[in-house]
Order: sequence, then C-alpha cells, then structure tokens
Amino acid sequence: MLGLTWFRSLIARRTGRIAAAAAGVALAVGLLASIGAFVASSKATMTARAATRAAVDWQVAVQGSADPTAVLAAVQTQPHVVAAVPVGFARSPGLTSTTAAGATTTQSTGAAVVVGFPADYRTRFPGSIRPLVGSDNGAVLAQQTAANLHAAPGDTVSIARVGLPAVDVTITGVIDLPQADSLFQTVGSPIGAQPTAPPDNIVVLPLAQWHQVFDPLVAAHAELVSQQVHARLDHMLPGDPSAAYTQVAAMAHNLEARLAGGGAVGDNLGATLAAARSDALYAQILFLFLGLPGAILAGLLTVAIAAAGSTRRRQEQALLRLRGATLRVLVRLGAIEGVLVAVIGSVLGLALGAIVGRAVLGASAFGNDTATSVTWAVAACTVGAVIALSAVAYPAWRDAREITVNTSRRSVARTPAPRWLRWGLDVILLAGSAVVVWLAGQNGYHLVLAVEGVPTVSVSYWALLGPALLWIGAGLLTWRITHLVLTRGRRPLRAALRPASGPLSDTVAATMQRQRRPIARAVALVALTVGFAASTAIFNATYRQQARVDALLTNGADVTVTPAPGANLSPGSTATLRGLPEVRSVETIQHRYAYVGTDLQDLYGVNPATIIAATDFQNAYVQGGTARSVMAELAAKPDSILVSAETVKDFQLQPGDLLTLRLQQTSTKALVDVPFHFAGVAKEFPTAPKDSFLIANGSYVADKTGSDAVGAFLLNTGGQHRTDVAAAARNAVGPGPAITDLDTSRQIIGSSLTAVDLAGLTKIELGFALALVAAATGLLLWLGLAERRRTFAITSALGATNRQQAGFVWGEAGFVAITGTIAGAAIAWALSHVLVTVLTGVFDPPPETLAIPWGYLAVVAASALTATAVAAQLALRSSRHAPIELLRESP
Amino acid sequence: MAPLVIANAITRCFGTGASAVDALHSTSCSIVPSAHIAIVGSSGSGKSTLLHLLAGLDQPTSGSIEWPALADAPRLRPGPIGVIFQSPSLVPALDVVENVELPLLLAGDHPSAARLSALAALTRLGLEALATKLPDELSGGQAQRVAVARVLAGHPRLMFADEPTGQLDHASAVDVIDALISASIATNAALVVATHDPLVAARLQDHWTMRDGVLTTTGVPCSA
Repeated sequence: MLGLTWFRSLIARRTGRIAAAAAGVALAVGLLASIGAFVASSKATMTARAATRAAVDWQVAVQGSADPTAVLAAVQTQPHVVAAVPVGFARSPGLTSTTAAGATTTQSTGAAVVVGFPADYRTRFPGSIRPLVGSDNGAVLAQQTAANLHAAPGDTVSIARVGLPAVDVTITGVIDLPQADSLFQTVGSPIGAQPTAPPDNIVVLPLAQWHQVFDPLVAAHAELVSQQVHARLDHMLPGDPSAAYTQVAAMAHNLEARLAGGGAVGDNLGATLAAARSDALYAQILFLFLGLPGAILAGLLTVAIAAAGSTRRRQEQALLRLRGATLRVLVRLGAIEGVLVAVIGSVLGLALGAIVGRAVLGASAFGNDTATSVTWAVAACTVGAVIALSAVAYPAWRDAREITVNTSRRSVARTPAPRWLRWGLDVILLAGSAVVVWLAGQNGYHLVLAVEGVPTVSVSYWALLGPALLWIGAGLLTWRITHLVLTRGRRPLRAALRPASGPLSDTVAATMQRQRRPIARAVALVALTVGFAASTAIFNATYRQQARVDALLTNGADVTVTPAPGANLSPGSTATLRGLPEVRSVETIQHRYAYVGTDLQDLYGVNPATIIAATDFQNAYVQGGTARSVMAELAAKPDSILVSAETVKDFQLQPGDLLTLRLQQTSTKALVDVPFHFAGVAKEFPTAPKDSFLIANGSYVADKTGSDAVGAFLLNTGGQHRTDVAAAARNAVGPGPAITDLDTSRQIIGSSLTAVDLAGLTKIELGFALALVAAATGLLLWLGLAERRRTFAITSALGATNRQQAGFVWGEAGFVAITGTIAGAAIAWALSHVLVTVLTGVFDPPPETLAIPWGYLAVVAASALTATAVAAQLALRSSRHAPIELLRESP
Repeated sequence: MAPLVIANAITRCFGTGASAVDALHSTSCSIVPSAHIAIVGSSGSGKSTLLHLLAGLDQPTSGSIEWPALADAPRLRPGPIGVIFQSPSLVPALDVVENVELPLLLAGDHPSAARLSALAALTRLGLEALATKLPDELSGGQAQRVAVARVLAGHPRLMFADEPTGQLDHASAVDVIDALISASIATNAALVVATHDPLVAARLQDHWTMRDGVLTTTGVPCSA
C-alpha cells in the first residue's frame, strides 16, 4: 500500500526528478540501441561490398588427369553457383610483334601466359576485364604487354610454343585485367608460395582459339597447360562477414570434397570476406572506442542527476525513518523509484534509438534480423536498468544503512575528500594509460590480427586500456584540480567571479567552496562530455581525411584522366580540361616504363614545383625530409630522381649515386641509357604501384625521350562536383582515356571499412554527444540550482535584488561551463592523439596531423554555453519566484 | 512620532476561482517605533500572512501599506526591516559569520565593514564562538539566534519574527526570545512576533489576536 502511495506521489510530485533521471537512462539506452543498429548495418554493408569486390568468386583448378568437363558439371550443380565457365591457361616462352608504325620494327618479350576465355566471360564476370582499346572479341593484349611489344589493334603477335611452331594471332584490342593477382594465383598453394606479381606478358584468346593453339601442346608438355572453372555465386550470405566467410569457406570445402581430388578451389570470395572480417572487428572496436564512452557518460550523468536530488531524497528518508520506516521499507521505496526510472528511460531510449536509426540508417530495427534486434534492445535496456538502479536505488540503500537521521537532514556538510582522491587514483590511471600507449606505439603491435586462411581473427584488446584509462584518469584529474582550486584558491576564485558576481564575489566563492564536491563532479562530467564529443569528432574527421588521402593516393586527384596506351593526349589537352566547369587546376604527370638493370619499373615525370599542391602530396610519402624539401631537391637538379625504398634496398643506392635507366626513345622506339642521380626515397606516389617506382623531373624525362606525352591529367575540383566533372571530361576527350573520380575510387579501392564510411556512426555519436553536452551542462546545472530553491528564497527574503541573485547563479554556472569546457578541450586533445596512435591500423596512410572539425566543435561549445545559459536563466527565474512559504517549511 | 508602518484595509487572497482562499480579510493597523507586539492566534489564522505583508515580503490583494517613518531608506530589505523565519533560514553553504554579514553585503556595505558588524552582532548575542560553524552544525536554537544576530547586524528599526520558536524546545525558545528582545532594545527597534505560544506572547507588551483572517485587538495601538 505504502509502495503504491509512494509510486503515485513520485509521479505526481517528483515529476522533474524522475523525468531528468529517465532522460539520462534514455540517452544511454538510445545510444547503445543506435550503435547496435549501426554495427549490424555496417557489417552487412561490409559483407555486401566484399562480395562484389571479387570479380570471380571461385577459380576451380582442374587437377592432374581429371576431366575438365566433369569438373565444370560438378561446379555448375553446386548449390549457390549461378555461373560457371571453363578457362584455359598456357605458358609461352615469349611473344614477338612486328609493327608497321613508321619503320617496321620487331619487339620480343620474355615468358608469357596465354589465357583462353569463353566469349561471354566479361558479361558473366563483370569487373574481370576492362577493355581499353579496340575490341575484346578476338586476341587481346594486356596493357603492359601491349606497351612492351609496341603493339596496337591490327598488329600481329607471334606466340611461341615449347616444342611446336609459334602461332600468329592478330590483335583486336588492348585490355586491363584489374584482378590479375587473383586470376594468376596458384590455386591450392599456400600464401607464401603464391607468385609475387602477375605475369609481365599476357595474351587473351577466345577459348575455342586457345584450344586450337594449345591442345596440341598437352600431349608433350602437359605441365605448361592448365584449365580452370570460374564460378560466380548467388551471394545469399549472412550479414556478418565472419559468418559469411565461414559459410563460403564451408561451401568451397564441400565442392572440393565432391570433386574428390579432381579440382582445387581458389576461394576469391572467401579471401575478400576474410579481409572484411578484420574490418568488421575494427568497426566493432570503433564502437567500443567511440560509442561505449557515450553510454558510460550517459550513465554517469544519470548518477549525477540523481545525486543532484540526493539532499531532498535524504531528507525525505529521514522523515520516513522518524516515522518508523524500517531499512527494508526504505530500500523498497528506493527500488520503486529506480524501477520507475529504468522503465521510463528504457522505453524512451528504445524509441529514441528507433528514431535515430530510421533517420540515419534508414531502419528503425536494431539489427538486420529479429534475433539481433531483440538482443541489442534487451542489452541496451539491461544497461539502462543497471544505470537506473545504481543511480537511484543503490544510493537509497546506502544512505538508509550508513547515514543517521541527523546527518541525512544536512544539505551541506564538511566531508573529507573522496578516497580515490587521497589514493591518487587519477595519477595511477594516467600513468597506466601512458604505459599502454607507449607499448602500442612500439613496432609489431597490431590491434587486429587477421591471418589469411585462419578462421579466427584476434584483437589486442589490452590496447583499449590506453584511451580508456586516459579518459577516466583525466576526468578524475579534472575533479582533483577543481576540488583543489575550490578548496585552496578562494582568492583567485573571487577575482574570477567578480565580473559575474560583483561585490558578492567573495560570498559566491564561499558558497562554491562549500559546494565543492558537487561542483567538482559537475565540472568533471562537463569535461568528460566535451572531451568525448570533441575527441570523437576529431577522430572521425581525421578518419575521413585519411580515407580521402588514401583515395587520392590511388586516383591521384579529384578526377584523373589517363590516356590509353599508345594513344597520345598532348599537354595541350590541359587547356581543354582546365576549361571545363568546376575545374580549378590541372596538373600533368608523365608515365613511362624504365629498366633499372633488368627490372622494369614505372617512372613518373613530374613538375616538382606544383605536384605537392596538385596531389596533396604528404610528408609521409617521402623518407628523410618533408615532401617540400625532397621536391625542392628534385627541382634543384634536373637529373635527380626519387627511388622507392625497395629499389634502394635492392640496388644498394646511396644519395648522389649515378643511376642509369633505360628509357624508350619515342621516335625510334629504341631503349636509350639516361643518367639520373639518386636524390631521395619515395614511399608512395599518387597513381603509382606500392612496391617499386621512380619519380623524376618531367622536363628532363621529356628531353631525354623526345616526348612530353602525358601519362595522367590530374584535375582539381576543390573536392566538389567530381562526378559531373568526370562526365564532362569524358565528353571532352572522347572514349579512349580512362577517367576516374575520387568518389568511385574510394568505393572500389578502399577497405570495406573505408567504403562503409563512419558517416552513420559519426552522425549517431555526434548527435548523442551534443545531447550529452547539453545535459551535462544545462540539465545538471539546472537540477543543482533547483535543489537550492530554499537558498534563493532566503536571499530573496533578505532583500537580494535580481541582479544579486543572478550573481550567485551566473557565477557558479559560468565556472562549471568554462572550467569544464577548458578541461574538456585538453582531454579531447590528448584523447585524440591516443586514439589515433592505438587505432593506427584503421588509417592508411597514417595521418600526419589531426583533422580538427572546427564547425562541429563550435556547435559543441555553443550547445554547452546555450544549455548553461538556459539552465541559469531558468534557475534565476525560479529563484526570483522562490515562494516565501519555503521558509515556513522544515528543510 | 510617525508610525513605522500603516496598513489600510489590506486583504490577501491566495489562488483564484473556486479554490481561492481569503487568508486575510480587510485589516487596518499601524506600528509605532519601539513597540513590542505579539500577534497570536491558532495555526492558519493568518498571523504569518499579516506579518509578511507588514514586512514587505508579500503584496496585499487590495488595500495599501505605507512605511512613513522608513521613507528615507533606499529600500526596506536589507535595511530598516529585519525578518526572522519559523524554519532555519541560514544559507547552508555559508558559515555563521558569512550568513550574518550577507544582508549587509546585499545592502552594499564594504566587505570588511560588513564583517566587523557581523562579528559585533554575534558577540552581542554571545555567539562569536560559532562564527566559523556551518548551519548544519548548529542546533535549532543556535541557528535561530544566529538569524537574530543577522537581523541585529543590519541595525533595523522594525523587526519581524514569524514563529521564531515554533520548532524549538522550551529552553531554546527562551534563549531566542531573550535574544530578540535584547536586540530590539539595543537597537531601539520595534519588534513584532507572530506566535501561538502564550509564554512567548507573555514576554511582549502588546498582543494582537488573529482569528480566521481577522485581526482583533487586545491592546494598543491597533485598529481593525
């Protein structure tokens, strides 16, 4: 009966207190539920993207004497296989071409691989072949092979065969094989035994022609000929990349078992899903790093909100005890309030999560299936219940057990400093964080370790302690410093309060000194909240920045126009491209192939004066200096050259060494020796391959080769209208050149984590962070001040003017908001650096500097100040109307 | 000698419509300097309402109140009128001396002058040993005597006390009423005490009686 009465009175008379605590619980539940939706959704996206990344899902190599037709039939009847075609591979000692451009010349290559594709291969496996020039219906050459042979459509290429006469084929086109690495894998071999690079020389023939050419070779040299079945699956996969990987791997094993030794499965789809597994774990860790603190903060806020009403609650408890309430009754009444807060908060939180999920991710469920949705909802509500009971029911139980009636009626008492403060817990936590971050910064540390071929992915969760300890330690340190300032720093505090409180500054300082515990707690919470909001924003902005840098590294610029091999777009085309709408500038780079000894490498001719700005050339791309200093060195000596680290190692180069490259003379097509001097090491270069490449002065290369033909036009659009500019460029230069824009590249080349983008998580977190900042500043302050209505009634009865009342309110509000924001900024700075250090694996390449999203930070600061102002104004209004009747009641 | 306060046909109604309650019916009265008046009556009779109106803490629904002898003061509170409340009315976050000096600071006194006045008031009431105590560390009687000291420090000309002993035991009540009377004598201030305790009322010279919002006089000067 008493419980029911208590329940009713809580709803009727303690509406504000219940609503405020429920709001805190709702924030925690809503954030967790929203993040659940994000994690589930992003995992499903990763799986879907990974599935589309493999052009050929399975390459089934026909083994030994097995019948290729039987293997094909087995693959075709395998469940989930939607397309399966035979493909032939044969090794040739070399290719020879005779071209009639100008003078008749003959070019030869080393060993080559001749592939036989059925006619509809490109249709069945989109993304496997990219036609560049001519038609791909006949014999076609790979891009680099065409360059090596100086061959173009219409030319004749002779394919040598071991023990048999060479066969002449007429080239109909030039193609690019974007997934040559997986196409030419050694199926069934372990990773270490795979070829390090695809073959230099590749000819593709129609399958029927391939059989005509190489079937005769089988009898004498079967080891030079092999056949595969390429298959595409239906991609009906579980949303979680790990589950999808397990399913696809099991299907592949099943097929191998059915083939009974007749075929080995090269599981390309499984390989891409395996890579996505680690990305999914990274996403999960990002949730831990960025989302969990938000939920913890919401919990702390709820505790603080509940604590703001603790004086009144204790006084109510004292009254009940005076009237004979037992410990059991008091605990039961506390539990009723806790459960009420938990239920209201959970319902509101789930509704909030559903709204946020719908707004940000387009789905109001908290997972991709019912089980996941229910799991996340139950987990979020459980956390909400724990928060509510810890914040409301536990203090009631503790007070009922430990506090006497007399002390529970006190509102301000001389209490000793908290135990953690006396024990120096903050310093211990910060030291622990420093140690963890130092260890994480050492070589060999990997947050996520996903070994290819191993079904499980491991995570070094210990590194999570770095930012976690820093965050908690910094929050406690803020508490300590605020406590210290309020205890010892009355004089500076008085001076600081003078603008707001005028002649009453010493009195306001005195009240704040006596209230130092709740004020220090409020400052620490504001600092933690601002730190969370700002560090999350900085991390996300840095992540976006690096994703762009990564895409720029591959694409070269916002839009890149790459002339087809053999086709020549003169630098004059620069003017045409520059004239396109939205194009701010156009940079040209030359692309040649150069022999370093017998090693063929990509050589890029650049303008050192402009290349840095044009391609966002980072300091991290060079070794032994900044990008600017290295390019200055390149500019100073025309024959200087930057060499990749691998080449430096292979050729034991020292700065200043003469490096003679063999480059092709444009007029004669002959290779000529061109002297360069080694000037520095380049680790990365936009559009260049990762392993080995060379960068030289474009003017010098043009002079020595007799051609300034452009390898790529890099169009700067200022980050806007990339797709439109790409379309306009297509119209301007015709169908020959490849035109790629940054957005498309980002989708194609990025890891699945990059491709998913943190946009969803960012929106959820930044939105909740704003709400938390507003709650930490406004709600907490308002509740704290509202609890002091009696004080305001006293000062009002003593004759305090509105201005003097405002001095009390604004003094405290300003102190909490300003001190908390400053401490929060410091925490955000430190936390951002630690997050980037520990999560280095997420970034490719690692960031040189943090990206600061000033706009969002301004919104955070504005929210904090606005919430403070609104809370102060409400408290002030309340204080002005503090009824004199309050002074006739017992406190 | 001009009266300190004159009330003309004042009424006070709380709430509106059907729930409206007339706490004070048309009442007229005046208080002369140095008067010691007890307003007696049962709980809910309207004693506190009348006292708050006379102290300027509340506005009458109709009628008017004037403070002719206090017209030269820039404002009534803090200043010539001091009020002591039924329940503890010290600011919990300020210690005793800070509480006592608070009205002086609100009145614009220099902090050091306010501190001296506060200490003097505490000394006069024998409370100087409590100067650094927090309100929560005081007994009910001590807290009320500090509240008296707070009024005393402002050198008032008219002191109101609303059930100042309502929550105290007899011994503490005697101490508080002694303090009030000695403070009023020391400052030559008029003292008006609302009380339902006949022992407290007996210590004061004049008695006004309130019943159901109506003031009936049992002494002078008062007219209803």
